[in-house]
Amino acid sequence: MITPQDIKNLENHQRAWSRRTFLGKSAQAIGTLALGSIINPNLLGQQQPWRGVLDGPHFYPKAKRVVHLCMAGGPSHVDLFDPKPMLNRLHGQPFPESFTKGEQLAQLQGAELLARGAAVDFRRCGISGQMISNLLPHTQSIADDICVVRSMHTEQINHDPAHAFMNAGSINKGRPSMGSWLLYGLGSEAENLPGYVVLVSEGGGGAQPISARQWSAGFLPSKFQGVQFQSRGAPVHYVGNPDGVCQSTQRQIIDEVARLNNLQKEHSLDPEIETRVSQYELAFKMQTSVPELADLSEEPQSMLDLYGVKEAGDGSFAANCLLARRLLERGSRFVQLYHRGWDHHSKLDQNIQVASTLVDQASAALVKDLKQRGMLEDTLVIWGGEFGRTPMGQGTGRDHHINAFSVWMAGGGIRPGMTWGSTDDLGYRYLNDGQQVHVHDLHATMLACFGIDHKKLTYRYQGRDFRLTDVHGHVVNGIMT
Amino acid sequence: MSDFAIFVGRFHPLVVHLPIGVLLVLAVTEAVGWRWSKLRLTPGARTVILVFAVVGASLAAGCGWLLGQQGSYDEVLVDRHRILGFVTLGLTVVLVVIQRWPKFYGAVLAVALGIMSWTGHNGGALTHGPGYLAEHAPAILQPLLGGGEPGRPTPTTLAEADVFLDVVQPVLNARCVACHGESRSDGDLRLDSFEAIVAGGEHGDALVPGEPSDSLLLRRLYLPLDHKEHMPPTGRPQPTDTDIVVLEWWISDEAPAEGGFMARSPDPEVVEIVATQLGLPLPPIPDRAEMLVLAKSLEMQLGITIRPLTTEDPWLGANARLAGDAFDDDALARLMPLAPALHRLDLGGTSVTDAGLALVGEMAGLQRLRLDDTAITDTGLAQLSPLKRLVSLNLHSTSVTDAALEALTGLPRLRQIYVWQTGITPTAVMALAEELENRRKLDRYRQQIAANQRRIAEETFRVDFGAKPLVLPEAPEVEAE
Repeated sequence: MITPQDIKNLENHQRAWSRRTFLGKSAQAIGTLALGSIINPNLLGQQQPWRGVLDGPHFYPKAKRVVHLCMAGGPSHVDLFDPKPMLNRLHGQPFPESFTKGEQLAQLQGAELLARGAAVDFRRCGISGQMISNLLPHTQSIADDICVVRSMHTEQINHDPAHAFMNAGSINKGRPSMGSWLLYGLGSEAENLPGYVVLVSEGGGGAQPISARQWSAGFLPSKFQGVQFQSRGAPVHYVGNPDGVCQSTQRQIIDEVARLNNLQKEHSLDPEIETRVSQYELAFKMQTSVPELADLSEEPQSMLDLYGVKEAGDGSFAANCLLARRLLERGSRFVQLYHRGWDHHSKLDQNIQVASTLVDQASAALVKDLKQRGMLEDTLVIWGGEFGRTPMGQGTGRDHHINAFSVWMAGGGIRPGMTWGSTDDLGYRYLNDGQQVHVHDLHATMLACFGIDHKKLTYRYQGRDFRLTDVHGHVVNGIMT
Repeated sequence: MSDFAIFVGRFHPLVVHLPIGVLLVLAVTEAVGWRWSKLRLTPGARTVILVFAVVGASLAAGCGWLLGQQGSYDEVLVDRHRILGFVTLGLTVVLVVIQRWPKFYGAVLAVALGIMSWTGHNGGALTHGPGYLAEHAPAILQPLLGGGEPGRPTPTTLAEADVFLDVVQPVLNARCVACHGESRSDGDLRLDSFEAIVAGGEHGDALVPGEPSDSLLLRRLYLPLDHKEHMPPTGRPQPTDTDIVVLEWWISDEAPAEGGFMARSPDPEVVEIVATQLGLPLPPIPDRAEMLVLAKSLEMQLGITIRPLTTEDPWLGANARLAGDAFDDDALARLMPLAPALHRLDLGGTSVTDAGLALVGEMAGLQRLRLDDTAITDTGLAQLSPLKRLVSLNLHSTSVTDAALEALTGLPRLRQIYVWQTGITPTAVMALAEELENRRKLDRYRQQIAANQRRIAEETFRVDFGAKPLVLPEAPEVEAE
């Protein structure tokens, strides 16, 4: 188990092996290392589960797990959650210059800007009367369980950096993603499965690639990084033993490898050795836990129908949602489902229909299922993209847009059945009315649902205390219970 | 007995002090005159004083006779008081006759004084209850003052305190028993024992267990102070807010006749009041470090997670779902040392049974309890009634039926019950919800009454004295969630 003392040792290690220090103070560094192994007798001890660096949340937690339904590509907020009658009226006419003058645009830079109205109608839903697009009929049915945030805004206008910003609060490489921060802070309850799992599906056109660095642990020990499961076929390949190797032989091999690794750790204090030992152990456990996880035979047909799953492991968003629920039940802390299919630069009308159909039913089913199982009260559901799309048309589609986009959240600590924040009459920019939500604010709020003060979850790296929200972030108390 | 007779009779306590004072002054003057002859009374003056004493004593005896007829007093005491009173009157008359014979006169005067004191003491016992002098006397003096049987020894810990004898009876003794006790039972009601309270008085039952607002005992306290039927009557010491809280709690908790106070899992507010009244320390909060050490070892042994809920408090959340079927009633029993610190417990999917729920019923601090997908039945659920802090209860996929909800009506904080895939019908859930809501309403109204009574008291004070009463700052309430 890693104690704060270990972390100090790791820092010492980092400091010790930087080029400058190595040249200047090599003798002293070696001394530090020697000391580290003397005062840490449990470096060789049994692998204990990582209980988190925090020794408990800062205040009473509401949520204990997250499922992030990431609509990769950037869903159009004005077509899904943010109805703009004024924009519809201006449809096809020049977009007012007062909005766009001097603004950064992606592919529309320098082009003639024409307003583009919403592709479909909106409807008031549920008792709360939230406005949700008819593209999302199932989401309409859970209107009273979700909180729609219309005043989201971000800083990055291209997919990869925007995802990085949404995950890690920074576009600089080497920053840990929010899932890694949670594992670092609180640990995971799942001992036989990874605490941070990623699944990817696609469909709807404009499937932009997703880099694995989005779920990297950055400068945190790499055992906190997200583990990507295959959404097609078996979630993890080759979990079975080769012919002629039984489980007890496998156990012996793992134990021996761990012993050798621990010998090496005595000498080098490299945190990655610890990670390697724990990964071997986890992989061993996953040999039994993953087949059990992926086996949907115990799910009744009605459950498959609820999610709209046609076949287990068919790579669909629906199958991923069902798998996500099973992961959450088994104690995973952070499950991230990417659906690549929202980058609608062209043929928006057709493509948004396809993408919506692919994710709508399963997203709503996940909320309903969590709710009937009583898991929604401590599971935070976040649905949204890395940015929004312009209210200006781009041929038959819309361009990337960072000044306003919508997400919805539900469950653990989030007030249900409400709309938070608003945009101007054309859906171009969030209103600075005290209800604006920056990505940093989203992160701060998410951590607050877990009982974590975002200013107090830090990691010292290269001489500076880093946190998920860097030097920003305000908890959006208005949307919390 | 006409109203006028009672009206006259009630002057007895006023008039009675006339002959007492006169006889005392006479005795003192005679004593002084016997020592210093210059100060001796003239025979004429003595006659005037004695006649005055006779008139006063006659008036007092007359009023007393009428008052004694009223019949709400202890007959033996009244008879004795009456006889002694008339003896005093007789002796005063004798003094008038024999005032010329100093030898007899002095002796008779001394006897008359003695008898008069005895009568007075008897009268005091009639009004304030027998042993009224002994009640607050130093322990050494108590037997001398007719304390009679020694009172109940004060318990040394809250756990020893009896719910009726140490918690409720002292409040009644202090505020009610003087008029509703052994020596005097107005309205034919006695409040000096549980049996007597249950027996009620001439206006019917004093107590409706479970229904504070229907119990006459409390209804009379709730009435405005100037209402004719308000109890205790104006001028008598009034019950404090905390007295009322204690009585309310007792009646709403089905008015138990005996048993441990703490075993009823009273609200922290009530615990604090009772602890203050009995001069006992509050029950200790579990030690965080101790609990965590225990939690860590149990985690490893049982294959479950037990994590602190905050950094500073000892409160824990345990997740036994991870162990699945391997977690049974025996494993649950091993969690019992953590019982005082457990706030959240997930037993979903484990093999705990009704027998195990008896143990769960002892975890009085539980706020969230998950029992979904287990073999529990209605019988087991009935054992959860002590869980007064329970907010959320998950029963989905069990075989519980409507009958189980009966046991839950007494859980004031219950907000969520998950009953998906159980035998519980929507009608029963709605009925329970209404019942709980009604009880909460009652609580709210009671709080409003208390608040308004405080306001009336404050305002009366302000009107009477033109100043605000000095209000001591209240200690901030500390409670998690």
